[in-house]
Amino acid sequence: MNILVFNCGSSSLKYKMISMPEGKELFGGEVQRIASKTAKPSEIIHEAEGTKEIFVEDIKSHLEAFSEVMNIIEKKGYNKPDIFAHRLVKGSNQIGKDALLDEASFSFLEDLKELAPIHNPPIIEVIKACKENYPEVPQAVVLDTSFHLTIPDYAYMYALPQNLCKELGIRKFGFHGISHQYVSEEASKYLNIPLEKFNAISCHLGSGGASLCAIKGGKSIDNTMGFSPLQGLVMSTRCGNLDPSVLLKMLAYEEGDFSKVNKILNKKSGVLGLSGISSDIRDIIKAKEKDKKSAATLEIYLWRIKKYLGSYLTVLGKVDAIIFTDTIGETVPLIRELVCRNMDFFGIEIDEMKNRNVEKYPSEISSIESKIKIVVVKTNEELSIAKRACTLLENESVLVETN
Amino acid sequence: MENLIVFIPESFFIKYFVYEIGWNNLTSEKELSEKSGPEHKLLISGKVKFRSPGSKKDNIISLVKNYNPKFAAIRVLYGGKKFNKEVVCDNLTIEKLEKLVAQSPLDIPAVIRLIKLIKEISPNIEIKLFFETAFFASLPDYEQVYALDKSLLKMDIRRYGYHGLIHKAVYDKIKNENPEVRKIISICLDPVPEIAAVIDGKPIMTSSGATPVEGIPGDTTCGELDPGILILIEEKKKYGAETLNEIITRQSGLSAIAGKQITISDVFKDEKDNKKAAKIFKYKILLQCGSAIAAMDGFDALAFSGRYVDAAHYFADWLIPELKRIAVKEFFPKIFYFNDSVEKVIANEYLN
Repeated sequence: MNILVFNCGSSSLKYKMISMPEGKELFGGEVQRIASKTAKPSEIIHEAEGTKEIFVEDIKSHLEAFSEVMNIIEKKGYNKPDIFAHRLVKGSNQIGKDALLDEASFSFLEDLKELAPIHNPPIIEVIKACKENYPEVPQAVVLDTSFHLTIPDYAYMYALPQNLCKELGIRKFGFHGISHQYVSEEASKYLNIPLEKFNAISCHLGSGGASLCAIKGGKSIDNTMGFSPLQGLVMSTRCGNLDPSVLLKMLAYEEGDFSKVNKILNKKSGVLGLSGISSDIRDIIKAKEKDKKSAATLEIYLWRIKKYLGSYLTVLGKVDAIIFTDTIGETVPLIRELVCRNMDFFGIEIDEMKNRNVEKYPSEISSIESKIKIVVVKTNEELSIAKRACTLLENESVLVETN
Repeated sequence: MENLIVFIPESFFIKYFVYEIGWNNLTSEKELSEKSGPEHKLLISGKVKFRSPGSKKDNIISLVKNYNPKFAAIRVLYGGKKFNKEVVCDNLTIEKLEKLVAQSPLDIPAVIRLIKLIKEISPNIEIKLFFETAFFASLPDYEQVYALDKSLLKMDIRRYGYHGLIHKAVYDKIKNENPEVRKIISICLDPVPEIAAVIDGKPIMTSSGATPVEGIPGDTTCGELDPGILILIEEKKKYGAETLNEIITRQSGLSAIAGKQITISDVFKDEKDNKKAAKIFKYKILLQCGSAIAAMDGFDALAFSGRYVDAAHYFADWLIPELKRIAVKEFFPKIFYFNDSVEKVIANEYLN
């Protein structure tokens, strides 16, 4: 069975055709920098049988990216998939866990957009496009929030009036769960520590979103993202943590226009808002020597990661590993080096040579003296999604209301 | 004898404290775990309604006339960039304060009215203003800046701390008696609590934000909140900014968790009955301490202060081992309990 997995990031669309149950990747790729203000234009990096092709295109939306990907697939003569599987960033009461989509569930999709306003809308557009163009192919959604269902109440509750929380479903959900789960399992295997005894902090540093996850005994116990993917770290265009009173002040400034405030916080803040030149931290690193704003942006980006790292190290007490993953976590050694610098109190020490020369994944980059292993693990959310979609098909699960 | 009057404007009232100045005892040193500071004699304290422009002035007028203070001190919550240390108040000060009204619309107007009234009653009183944010003026950029568009940051949206007077007094006291201590985690247990990481007298991290609402939940303040939550509440409920502000400042915090009006102190006096609130509070404290440790790459001392410093005795036994276990080498941090109230800190500062 061939599963075509779509994984929408805030500014990217990853895709992979995976043959299951063996988990063999037939082809795959990523549309990068969709409609984002970066130094480089959008491009599609397509990979099959070890060969990489790059198509530079001006891609303005995820829907356009989907069409381009399907064009490539058709032109190259690949077979149609047996099922489409999608990463869904956040579910609802109606779609609260991994599910195969049926007619009834399509009617709930629109409601999901507001729950994760950056991610869910493009995912839903892609799901609808799949249905319209390939109505005979079944579709599955795999939720990013499932891994975080183990976060204890004292970490997921907000100190707001509880009747309001109950009525509006306000709690910490956590995000990037598919990735945090995948890389923590891979790291535990790599370090030969049984998963049920494995404590780690997973740093998912993407080119768009980013989050840290505290993992105890293989289970998520906290995540820097919260009710929405807006909370936590400084991201490409998202502000991360913000004083709630500031939001109200912004509201007054924008004369009560909440949608405008929402747009500012989600799409015009973060690395882009601070630097004013790019939403991609890699551009900022290149510019930092000559541009003071870029140097300051990098400092703020790193500082927020360090503070959360300290929080989670403290909460966990005993930590086996710090895991770096996703585009920035895997490919930017300077970020890893600076995050781990001056963490002697915790016994964290990076080997700078190993860090700069990561050639395979997973790789350990900590020094021999480091009390905590530092590893770089290539995330493979698509494989994880394919496995979970396969399980759904096997169980012939149908959409269930989880109320 | 000479008198000093200290004013602490709070949400609905202004608290006042009249001290008979004990000049001779200014250098008295006591253990930090005991009541400390110069022994000014407190003659009278109380609170008066003086927050709104229509409030009666009689109480303050009679107070000033009766005790005829030579000095007056006012605690000001927010001083922005204009005030990075205490100032003796003159006309220029009032002009500067007037420019801060937009940033602190409740506190500053009440302070200005109070200054004008005192000067009217007794023009010769020396009035000094003590700013809670002044200690945090030197907070590094990477800690103070929010990841927002630069145009918004021009509105002086930045992170401060709001218990700067206490944190500074804690640092001074510890440094005076333990010069080897460099890195302090200062935990101020007030109705709106706050943690600061202080190295060599300079703050490097604070749990509060642009206002004291961010960070650790307080008696009725929500603490850290996903910005998306307020957007959702507004979309669904259309409360408007004023009601939302009321919710996050007066209807949230540990009281909201416990489902009854409660203080941090109450929570720990009766932890069994307030399990959830206690757990959440302890967890948030632990997270912030972890951030402080990462910010300083360790710590030498842990100091508790604030109105509910008594609550620290209930959870310090839990917190200290939690913080010690993460150190790669065994170490023995110094623990301090600082009992002085902010009015006493101000009185000491004024006269030192």
